[in-house]
Amino acid sequence: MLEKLKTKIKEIKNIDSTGHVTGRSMYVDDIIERADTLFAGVLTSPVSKGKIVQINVDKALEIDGINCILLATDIPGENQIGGILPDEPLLAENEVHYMGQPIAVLVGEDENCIHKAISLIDLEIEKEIPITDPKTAFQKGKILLPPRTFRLGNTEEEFSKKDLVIVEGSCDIGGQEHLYLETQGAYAIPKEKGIYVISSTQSPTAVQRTIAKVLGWSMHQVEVDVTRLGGGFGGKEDQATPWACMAALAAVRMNKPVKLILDRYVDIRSTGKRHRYMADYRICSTKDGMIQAYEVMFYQDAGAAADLSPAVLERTLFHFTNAYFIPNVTATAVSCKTNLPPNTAFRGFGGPQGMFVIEAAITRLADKLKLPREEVQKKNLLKENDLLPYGQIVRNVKTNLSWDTLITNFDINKRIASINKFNEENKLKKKGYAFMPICFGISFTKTSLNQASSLVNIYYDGSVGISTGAVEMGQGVNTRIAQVPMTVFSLPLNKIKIETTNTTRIINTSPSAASSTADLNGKATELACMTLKERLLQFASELLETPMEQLDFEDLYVTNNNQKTSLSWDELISKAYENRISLSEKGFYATPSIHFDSSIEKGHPFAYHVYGTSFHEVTIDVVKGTYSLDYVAVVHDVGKSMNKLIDQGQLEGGLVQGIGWMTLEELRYSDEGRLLSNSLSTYKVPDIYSIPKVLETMFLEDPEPHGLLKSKAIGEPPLMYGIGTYFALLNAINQYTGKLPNTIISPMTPERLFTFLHLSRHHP
Amino acid sequence: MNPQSANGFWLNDSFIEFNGNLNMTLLDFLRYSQNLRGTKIGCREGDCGACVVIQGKFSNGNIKYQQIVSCLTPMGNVIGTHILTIEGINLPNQLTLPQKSLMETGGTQCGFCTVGFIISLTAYCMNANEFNRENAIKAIDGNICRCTGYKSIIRAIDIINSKLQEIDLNHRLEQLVQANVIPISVIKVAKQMERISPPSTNSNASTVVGGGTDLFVMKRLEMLDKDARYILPLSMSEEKIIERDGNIVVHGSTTVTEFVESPLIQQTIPNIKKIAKLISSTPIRNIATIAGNFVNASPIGDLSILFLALDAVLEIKGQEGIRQVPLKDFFLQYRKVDLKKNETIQYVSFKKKNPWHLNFEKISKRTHLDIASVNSAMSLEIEGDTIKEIHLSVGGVKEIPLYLSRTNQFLAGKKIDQNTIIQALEQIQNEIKPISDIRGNELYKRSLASNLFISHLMELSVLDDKNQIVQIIPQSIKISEIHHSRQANGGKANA
Ligand SMILES: Cc1cc2nc3c(=O)[nH]c(=O)nc-3n(C[C@H](O)[C@H](O)[C@H](O)COP(=O)(O)OP(=O)(O)OC[C@H]3O[C@@H](n4cnc5c(N)ncnc54)[C@H](O)[C@@H]3O)c2cc1C
Ligand code: FES
Ligand code: FES
Repeated sequence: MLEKLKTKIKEIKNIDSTGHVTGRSMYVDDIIERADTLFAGVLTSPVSKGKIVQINVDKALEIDGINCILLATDIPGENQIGGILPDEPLLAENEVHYMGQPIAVLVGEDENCIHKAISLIDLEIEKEIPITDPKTAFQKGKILLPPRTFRLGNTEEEFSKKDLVIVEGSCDIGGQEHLYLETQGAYAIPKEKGIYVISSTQSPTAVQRTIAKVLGWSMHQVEVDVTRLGGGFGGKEDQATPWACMAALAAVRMNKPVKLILDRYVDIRSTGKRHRYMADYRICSTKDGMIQAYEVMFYQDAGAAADLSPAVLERTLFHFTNAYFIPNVTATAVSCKTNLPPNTAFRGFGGPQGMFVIEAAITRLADKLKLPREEVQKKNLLKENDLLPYGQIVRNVKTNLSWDTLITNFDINKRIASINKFNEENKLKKKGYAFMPICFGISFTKTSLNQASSLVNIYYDGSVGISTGAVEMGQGVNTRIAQVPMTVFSLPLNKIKIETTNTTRIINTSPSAASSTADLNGKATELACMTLKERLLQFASELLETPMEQLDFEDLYVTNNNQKTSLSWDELISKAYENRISLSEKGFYATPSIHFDSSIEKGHPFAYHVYGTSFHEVTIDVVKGTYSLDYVAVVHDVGKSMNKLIDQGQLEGGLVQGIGWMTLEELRYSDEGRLLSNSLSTYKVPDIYSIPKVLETMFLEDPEPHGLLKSKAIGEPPLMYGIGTYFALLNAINQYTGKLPNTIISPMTPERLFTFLHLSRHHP
Repeated sequence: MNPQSANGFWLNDSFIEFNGNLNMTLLDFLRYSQNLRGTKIGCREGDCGACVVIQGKFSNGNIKYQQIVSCLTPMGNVIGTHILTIEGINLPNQLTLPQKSLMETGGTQCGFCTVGFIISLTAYCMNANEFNRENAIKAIDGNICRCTGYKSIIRAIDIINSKLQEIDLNHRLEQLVQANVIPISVIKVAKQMERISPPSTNSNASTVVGGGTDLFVMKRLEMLDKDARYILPLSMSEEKIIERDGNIVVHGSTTVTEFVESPLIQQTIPNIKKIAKLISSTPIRNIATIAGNFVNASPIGDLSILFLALDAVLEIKGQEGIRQVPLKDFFLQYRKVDLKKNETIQYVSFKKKNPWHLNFEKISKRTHLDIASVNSAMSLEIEGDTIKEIHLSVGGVKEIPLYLSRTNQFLAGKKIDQNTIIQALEQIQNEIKPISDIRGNELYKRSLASNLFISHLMELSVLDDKNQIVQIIPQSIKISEIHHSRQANGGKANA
């Protein structure tokens, strides 16, 4: 096989940006409907738990324009959408388990009549008492699967040793709403031999499979097509599926196209979020801060059904020691079933919560040791060839390198000195700071998902169309994939089109998730391109009567020993066609050498790890309990960046999303399980004024053999830097109060900050 | 009966006749009647900016172009104006300056928010009195992006500003066409625009619509069946803010933006810009009216709180004529005001001081574009070291925007020292009765009400001694805690 790969990668702007800035990019709701299109709306449960006594839709059906109202009993196939566990109906039947759970689908001529009809459905539910927090659920035995435990060394023995400093504590980490700007939606159009569904999903195949199941059809009767998403962040990995199923169900029933777009209130109320976790830990170290042992128990709030929770839980266990080496650890985690919407994937996928707890533990340990927190962190950073609790040995570790580079490159020690000086001089304002190192594993932790296909078609005019299983949702995956043929064939962008993601062209796709989309689909594309390149150069060598080894492509021409020949790309392609040479190739990639055995919880689950370190500085106002984020610096490991602009965007966007999770974004529920922060006016994501005033970043570049064109995945890891902002705020609070709370609760809203500062007696 | 009109407006490069329901939102009209789907829907409650469009309106003989949220703007407020959507901004064969800049810096990822940013930045070019980073950021303060983290957007702003330094603001539109910010068609329409008479609506209709930023939130479909009266276009020709007999008189339909930009207001309330920045966002302020904020009567209405500290008086017009009501008497119960059916707030007036010694504080989860947990305003006049006049108001601590009558009375004539402050804190705690809700729990709100009073004293330079404040804070908290326990025990806070 041809090994030669250009080292000069062609960098380009996000290929979608022209469409985005001119408003020509199309999202599901922007497709102009066929004239006979009907619209659908959803009646959802008004209570968190209960038995459905009766549903009467007669009055609602009388509303002008209403065509039909579908209930669980109208589902021709299986009323089941659960992916990991079969525990979630598409439409509630007999019982409801969370507020916002879909019960009926209303189909009508416009949203106005649907809106009126919804209020006329006579729904009688016998209320039961809901569970809204994971510890209570655990105590009541409501768990999804048996707890899992990751172990290294022997913690019990270690904790019983003398002369060690031990700290115990708890955390309560809030969840996070994805708030993709485009709400969930789908447009289903019946076709002669099945159904065609345009969906805003990260998992076209999951949508296809589930629609088939719900309709009682085979997968080949369902074609799912995705152009792009207006944001996903994990929220459309599993949870785009039900809405697409409902649209398909209605379309098949009416034999007309049906569009179902959620309004924001239904979206926020009915869809799952990043999991809230509660955790209890104990940690011990020597007097100089060498951590000896760490025990932790994680209670994950899975919500009312499994969704992806068991997989998310697993990743918590993969990351509970973050970027540190701890010789003795025991971590147990359990998915607890509550009466909230089923929680789901969200950038970081359980990793962030795992990291938060160890950061909290180290914070309180350092406080007890009377050592600067960063000293304890630094002492315990992972080193080359350290063993992770799950059995993988880390290589090419960049913890210390990123930490040291951060300190020197951004003159951090000087900053710390001036922060300390500030705190001596000021009593009503305090500054705080924190370091946040990260280590994040790349690959789906479910090994079988680490596969991808790509279809590279060269049309006989020389233009190239590429289909993969990757879904573009702003992360720039289409751009990265376009860079592959640009690099391999040395083609300009206008010769290349990245097609929609379509389950008929590319089958059995893995979700676009786990930061791995570009690695997997890009590598599959690279393989297909390389095969085509070899075939084409072979043919060119015949045409030019020159040994193939001397030939290559450069700027739309075949070159001979780097000299341009007379044979152009277009001519070569058209001649290849005339000579009946295949111009189409399928590439298939499966990540090599990864494995994991969950019966012993050991293996080598990740292709590689991503590292980095950040520094955060904040100022708090003691009188008002408000704060400002003054400064963040990040040194981040990108492999060999193949697109600096996209990498920068992922770094900044992830960081700010992580800061949002740690500071503003608060999910509040009533005791009955009603989401109180249920709209953009009550659930606050960062706006332009809430980002760090100054943000300095630097990439560490070192080629990664397992990454696409030697780059490293960057979708998820930067989010976890946001945790640093939380601990900087806690540090500032500590400067005023001189103590840390036992239970570390996130997010740090101004109210929580004020409470920690002044009212901690009332809210321990 | 639905209000009908044979009127129209300019949409991008052409005149559109509109005979539909005036209560339909502009967003729905654009996307579903006109199939202009570049304008996006993110929330339908004015909080994301995905739906912003530019509206051109007559103002003092000129056409002023500014961004507004189309999701809360009813067609009744569109008649006679010029609406520019992304489709009308795009140039035939190239990108505009904001578009190119945003692309250059990677300021678009999923793209769903992007049109909104382009529109707001274009409005900034058409509207800003100076091209600098601060103004440009203000122009996009109503736009949420979930992907980029905003830094790349700020880098795009820097590029835009660097290209606009030479613009002669006296020939702005022509020069913006030259600079590839807007297409020439904008100027053509601007020249054609003439005053269109306002839509004829039922003058007895029960619902008065101001900017619509309260009425249309979550009630878009219900509003379609309402009989509504539009008052904004009617007042377009009037001078909205005037000085009369030592008072500033502000027309009820004055938008927050108009209020803030008035030289008269800037003179008498020099920190008004800083205050207004904390209230909603640019595309909301451009349409939200002052009277709308009073009538909405939210206990945490920022303008209500501000005007209470200005000791404002309302002039209310009804069928029986005109009556005057001090704002502090206007709020009766939760969301209930002293306003009869068919009455409108014609004017609000307050004393013209040179200038007002006034401070406004607002604590919310997010500093900008958020509703307050607690807000407070205080105006102060001091003679020697005693208080001559004081108006302190607090929001979010009772069912109405609260004017602290007893605290104010107590403080008037007092010398400001630690003792007075502690007693005032007691008074404040006696007068408020917050409840726990999504915006904060009761004790938090209690403590904030007191601490914001201290902040006022600091900001107005009445309390400069930092050490004194350091001592007062724990006492302030303690007083709040005592009143908190009393409230919790159902005991009388006055006991
Ligand atoms: C995203 C968003 C953010 C917001 N942020 C803030 C904020 O930070 N602070 C804040 O205080 N508010 C905020 N608001 C609330 C709102 O913008 C204000 O209350 C605004 O001033 C209302 O004015 P309007 O003209 O839009 O009211 P409308 O919705 O038009 O009317 C509101 C009420 O007032 C009545 N009314 C209007 N004008 C008159 C009149 N002249 N005479 C008699 N009755 C009248 C109407 O009939 C209606 O009952 C926000 C709203 C949104 C959507
Ligand atoms: S749709 Fe969000 S502001 Fe209008
Ligand atoms: S680019 Fe996705 S929301 Fe801004």
